[in-house]
Amino acid sequence: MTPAETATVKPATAVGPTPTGGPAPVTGIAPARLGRQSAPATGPTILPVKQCCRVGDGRTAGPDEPIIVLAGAPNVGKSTLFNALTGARATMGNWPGTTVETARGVWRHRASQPVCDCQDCDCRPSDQRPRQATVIDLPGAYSLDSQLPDERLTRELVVDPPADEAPDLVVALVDAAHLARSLFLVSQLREHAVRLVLAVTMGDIARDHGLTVDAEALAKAVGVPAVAVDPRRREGLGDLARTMLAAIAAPAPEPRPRVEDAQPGDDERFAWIARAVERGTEDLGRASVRRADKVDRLILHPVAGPIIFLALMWAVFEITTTAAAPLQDGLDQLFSGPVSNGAAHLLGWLGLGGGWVEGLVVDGLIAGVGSLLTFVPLMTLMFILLALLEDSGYLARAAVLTDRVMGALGLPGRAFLPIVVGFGCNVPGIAATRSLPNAKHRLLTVLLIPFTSCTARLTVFVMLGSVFFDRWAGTAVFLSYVASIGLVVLVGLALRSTLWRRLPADPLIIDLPPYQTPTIRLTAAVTWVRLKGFLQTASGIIVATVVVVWLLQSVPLGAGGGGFGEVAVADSLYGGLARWVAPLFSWTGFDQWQTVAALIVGFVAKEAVISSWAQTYAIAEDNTGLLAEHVRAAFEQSSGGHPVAAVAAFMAFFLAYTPCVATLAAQKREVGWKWTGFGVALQLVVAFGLAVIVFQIGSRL
Amino acid sequence: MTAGPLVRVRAACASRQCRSTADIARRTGLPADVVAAVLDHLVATGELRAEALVSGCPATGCAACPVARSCPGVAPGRTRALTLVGAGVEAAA
Repeated sequence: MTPAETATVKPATAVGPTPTGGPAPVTGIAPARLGRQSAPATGPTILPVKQCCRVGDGRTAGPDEPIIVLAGAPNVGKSTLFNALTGARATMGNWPGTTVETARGVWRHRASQPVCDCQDCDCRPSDQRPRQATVIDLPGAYSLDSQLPDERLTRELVVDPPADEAPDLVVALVDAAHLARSLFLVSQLREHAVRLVLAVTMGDIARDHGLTVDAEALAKAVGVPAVAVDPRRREGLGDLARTMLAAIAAPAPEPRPRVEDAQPGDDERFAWIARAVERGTEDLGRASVRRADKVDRLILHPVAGPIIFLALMWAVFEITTTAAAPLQDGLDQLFSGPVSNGAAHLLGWLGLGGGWVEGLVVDGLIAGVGSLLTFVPLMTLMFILLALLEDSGYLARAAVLTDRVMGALGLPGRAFLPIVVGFGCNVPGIAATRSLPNAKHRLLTVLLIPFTSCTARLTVFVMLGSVFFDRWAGTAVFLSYVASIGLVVLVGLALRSTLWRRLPADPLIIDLPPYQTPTIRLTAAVTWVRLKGFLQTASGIIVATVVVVWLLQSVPLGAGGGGFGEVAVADSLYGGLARWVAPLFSWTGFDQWQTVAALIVGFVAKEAVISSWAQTYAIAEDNTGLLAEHVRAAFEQSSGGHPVAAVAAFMAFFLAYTPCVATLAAQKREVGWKWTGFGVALQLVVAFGLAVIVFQIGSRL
Repeated sequence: MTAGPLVRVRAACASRQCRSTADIARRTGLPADVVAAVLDHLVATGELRAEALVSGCPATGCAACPVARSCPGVAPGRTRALTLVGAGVEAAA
């Protein structure tokens, strides 16, 4: 029930103008009178326009003057036209009997104003015509069928009242840039005996889109006068005034035949709209539309489309890693050198040097947070490139391609949306599965999302790509994304062929935006929001993890290794745990305990992997040398001379195993512990199997 | 009697052959503006569900998002995805 329907109700007899001339303060509404499912109107009712405006109180033109209502969809310029007509001298307030806000004002026109454009005719004297009229700005409405209070009011005031209580003229504003959309309301209005004039607005925007609306042709198609106006620039108002005066003086046009049943009726209306659009529109932009269509045919081609998509994504990663590499190296050296040394000197000067405080601050916080900050240039560049692709309209096309692949494999089309979200961050991706109505779809998608390569994993892929693949770093990162898509598809197929053999599939339709030149403002804004969000999330996780890792690294595992904070990392609780797990990875080529420790930290949060890695080496090696050198040496050693195969196996494992505890919490919330546990087991089995295959094959090549 | 735009667009949506509004325009032979208007109408009548296609945000909106306060991916999208819902699918199929 709407607020209007629960408002105070007064008897119908109280409805009407007050003795002082103002409308009666009726605040009730008769639900039965609204919409098509009408019941006998026994209660209070909405005041029709004539009753409401039959007073000369300065807010209306007077009891004998005509009443004009402005109707149309939201944002077509109704209020601007209203202000232009009334000089912005308006009375704002809820329409009596409703909570819907309307504006009323007086439109005054010059008596000498001609009533037509003819040069030779004698239809000039307008003295016989009204000198002023009450203008009512109705709330935006797309149709007369809606149950929304704003739209119901339009129906209630314009087509439902008795003829002698109806407004004298309806001016329907139609958006030239979205003509078909605007004409639905017009098609319904034309089914009633109302005097109607079309005011065609937004002509400038339509021209930018390559469209021109021919008001005369549109008028013929619709069967009522149509005038092009630009209320913002006060253009066309004279024509509109003459047309309104002429329309008020003329009888209402013959209504269109109406099909009573809702569905055939709507179909007939759209057929009428399509004819009106065809007759009333000159599509000057057909050439550009055809060009865009040709581009779409290529970009969305079943074979060429995916190749272009992959090529563009490869370019994004290649540009990102190549251009950001020097800045990354510079920042890495800055944090491992001057910043760390400066902090150590400062702590020494404060008398805190050499102890656990220096360990926590220099080897923990500065090494950890510094390692994250080295990725700022890279993330910035990547977010800029992705924002450019998105703003240009390309990413929407990529969505069509991806959906096509999923559809071809029999995966639910709607599941595509949360999976796309998962490529940004798995946690909101899992939350997004709530929009899937089918429980099996939800469960399957929740299980697949952890295989999407989130932004946090990207930092590790970029670091490893730069260390091991040199000039092919971008390609390596790109391949990790391709592998991620492949994993989603393969695991999805495997689950479908085993657990869910029968799944209904909803068709998904992407509403493609037109191509456009990306704007610097939007690109910068989107980039900044994403970068800020990434840093906020990552820095919080990293600081917390650094402290926990530092604590674990400070606790001695057994006697004889030293006290708290004095123990070597290898002999600490942290090192002991990693050493205990490490042998499990002997088939994968990365069973060095430092590497495995990073994976354990990654189970908590992928953002913290590099920081903990840096922290481990900074403490273990008792220096703050470059992380890259330590990591390269570790893989070299653990793989028996096949570091590239081992790091590829590590990346495969990193891609497929559990993303973070936040994702586990989100999964538990959506599908419960049982399926969350199944998901973790699935991820670990897939990750381990993949890593073994990659290393065993790679090391033999 | 030839089917009107509404019936043609609804059938195109349910055909599983159309993955974009451009596909629907091609399949139905209707101008893109009319297709857009019909799709809006189907969304308004509840036959289609429209979801903003943004990178990094749940379709359920920020209120349901556990990382909304430090969201890494808020970006207003120009694109929306449309899906036939429940009865719409069966009616059109």
